[in-house]
Amino acid sequence: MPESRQALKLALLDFIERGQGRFEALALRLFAYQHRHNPAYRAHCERRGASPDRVARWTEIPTVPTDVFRHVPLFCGQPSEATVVFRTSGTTSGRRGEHHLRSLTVYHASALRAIDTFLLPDGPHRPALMLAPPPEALPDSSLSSMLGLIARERAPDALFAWNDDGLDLPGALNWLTDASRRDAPVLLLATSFALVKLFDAMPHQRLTLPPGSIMMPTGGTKGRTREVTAAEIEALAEERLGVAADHVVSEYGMTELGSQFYDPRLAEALARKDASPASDSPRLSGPPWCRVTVHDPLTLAEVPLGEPGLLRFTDLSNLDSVCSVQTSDRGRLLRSTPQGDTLTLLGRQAGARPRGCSLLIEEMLT
Amino acid sequence: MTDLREAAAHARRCAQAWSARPVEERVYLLTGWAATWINPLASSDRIDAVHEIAQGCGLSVPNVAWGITTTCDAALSGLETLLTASLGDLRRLGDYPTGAEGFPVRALPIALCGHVWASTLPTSGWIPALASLALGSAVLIKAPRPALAAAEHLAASLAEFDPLLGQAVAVSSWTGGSATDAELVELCDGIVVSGGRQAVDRYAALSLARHRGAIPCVAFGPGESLAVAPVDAGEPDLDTLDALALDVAAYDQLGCLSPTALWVEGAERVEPWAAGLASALDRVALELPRGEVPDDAAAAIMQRRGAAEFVGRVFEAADALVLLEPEPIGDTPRYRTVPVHTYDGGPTGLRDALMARPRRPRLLSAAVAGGLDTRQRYADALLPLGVHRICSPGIQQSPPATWHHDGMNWLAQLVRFVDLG
Repeated sequence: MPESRQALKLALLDFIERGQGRFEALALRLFAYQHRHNPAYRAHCERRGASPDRVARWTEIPTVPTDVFRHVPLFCGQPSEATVVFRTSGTTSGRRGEHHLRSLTVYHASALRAIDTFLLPDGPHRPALMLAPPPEALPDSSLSSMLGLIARERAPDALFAWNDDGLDLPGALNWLTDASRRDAPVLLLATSFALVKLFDAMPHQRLTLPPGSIMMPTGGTKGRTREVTAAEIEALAEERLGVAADHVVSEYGMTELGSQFYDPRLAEALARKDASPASDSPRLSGPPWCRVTVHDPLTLAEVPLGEPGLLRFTDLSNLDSVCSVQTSDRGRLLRSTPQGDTLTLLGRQAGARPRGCSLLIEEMLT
Repeated sequence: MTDLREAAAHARRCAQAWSARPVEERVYLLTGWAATWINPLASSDRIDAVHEIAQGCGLSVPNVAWGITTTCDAALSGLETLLTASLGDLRRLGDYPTGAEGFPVRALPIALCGHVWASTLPTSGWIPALASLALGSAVLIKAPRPALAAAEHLAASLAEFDPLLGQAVAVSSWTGGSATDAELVELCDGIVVSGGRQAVDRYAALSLARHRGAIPCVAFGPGESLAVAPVDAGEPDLDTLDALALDVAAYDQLGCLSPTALWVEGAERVEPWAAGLASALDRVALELPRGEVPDDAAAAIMQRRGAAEFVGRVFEAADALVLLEPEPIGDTPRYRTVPVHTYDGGPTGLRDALMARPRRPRLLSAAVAGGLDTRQRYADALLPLGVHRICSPGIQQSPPATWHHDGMNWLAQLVRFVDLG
């Protein structure tokens, strides 16, 4: 009897919210579901001779390169049945990748659980400033959607510093100045581009946000008009805003994945009650329902732990599309455990298409 | 040699003696030198050099040797003709012969010509450098790291062949930066630059704004080349397919004359051409194996292959992929990745299909299967896209020395004509 989406969704929610179930079993159930209901993906699997009765391990699930999202609707069902479509930027080719979702239930459950684990490990409900458009302004941005979720569920007083002209820098600076005069720690969520614009707008201004304030930059600046490294953003956050380095929680995500990865230092520091040492290569940790393998760029063979290669994600929160996604992002897998994987990014491939919500929002900023 | 000023001054000084030699002698020496590089893998003196050049640029050793042979063959057979065709009369480089203009004209070469090389094709800068030397100019080569070995071996072997000739060539390398670019322009009396849009535009602007007065800048900019299989070409035959495969495999598809896609007229004909090209790429890889594929290119190939599997069909070959894509879905990541598209309606149909693409790079050349009449009809149709070379498959990557690179009589820009009334 083929499994229904509802039954699978409940099983995934059990795993995400309560840790019940096993990753591999769920991944294989999800593959079987997607093989059955996603016609483009099924054809892809058939070309490889892969079917649910032949795939025994989650690492054997046929993967789909991220570029395919630009050319084919990878949806379990008719694309018209999707209630949400997240889109990548289309800067280079004019074609935007599309990730169709039937509903946001699993997506939101996944995002919130990871946010609670990595971004807000000391608890929610703090004033928040978002340097990004709200979901109403950019409904097809998965990042805006996630920020809207945080605003609704974890930071009800959040301000989106955004107006009809784009980023509202004066509004953001006013908000930050006010926040620096109060005691309550705050949350600042922003694309890297927006942060660069913020820091450029306050060359001589020094604010000290209350201790415990957290900043979440997302998206790189590589290949853009001005490159700023994660370390530079961290240094500027400390210098201009008084945000401690271990409270800068970088986020890594992409339109094609429902899950996000975060810098685990804050969560680790709170768990150990001490400061985590700085690392030369920023680490990113993911949730247990999104596993990582690393592959040789030419052969796509899996490389051993610690070796560099292209990152592939098997993400159970991708219920309505495909769960195995091959990216062009280069990285190393540092640790692989059932509790979640930790990787380090080696920079987006120079020849790969820049994409993602940060770029989409940058298009609105420039 | 890395000190730019010292290198330039030395070359400029030595060029006076070089320039004083009759042009016939200069051409004789340069073509004699070119002959020593034909089939370099058969020469014990050249094998190490080919390996070093290959190591620097990432191409395979046989591919580098093929490029050197092709280049030097073109120089050997065409250098003198290039000068004659460009200047109207070879004797103008020392005298005032009367030409088609009806009055005496002399051509004065610039004293020092800067040659800025691209990183992709290590020996593509050899013919422009040899032509400058044949004019009687000194040459200062700025080579990026991947092409540095090619520049150094060019200079060293010229010096070995004729010490005076060698002294007129200087090689410099640096990692880039506008300050050194400006310094190069200040030091030279003319520039020949090959590269991407940014580099070409930068040098063009620097040459115009030069402190000591504007200088000529010959810019060989980026663009795309295509292969075309019209209905007139009939069914794919082995010779044509092997010729197309050679065009793809030479320089691993990294040159501006490398075909970035194969366009086949008629949807029903596309599969045999795609499958045949894949088989031919298998064959050519035996003699010209692919070189290193950088990680970023490998990732781009992986993505493109994935997309092609969903929208079309993939034909796998040794060191190569042929991607049957009904509609163009983006630029090729190169390294022998050949998208195959279809069009209808003959030359104008192809032109319309090319113009309908969301991104349209400047079209430089097209290798069109079929006869001369077919090529001429395609040339006429593709003129509005900027094309300047239409040829048969198999020779797309080996133009004669006399070809109008980028559609220009480029060598004439490196001399000053003096009319005697």
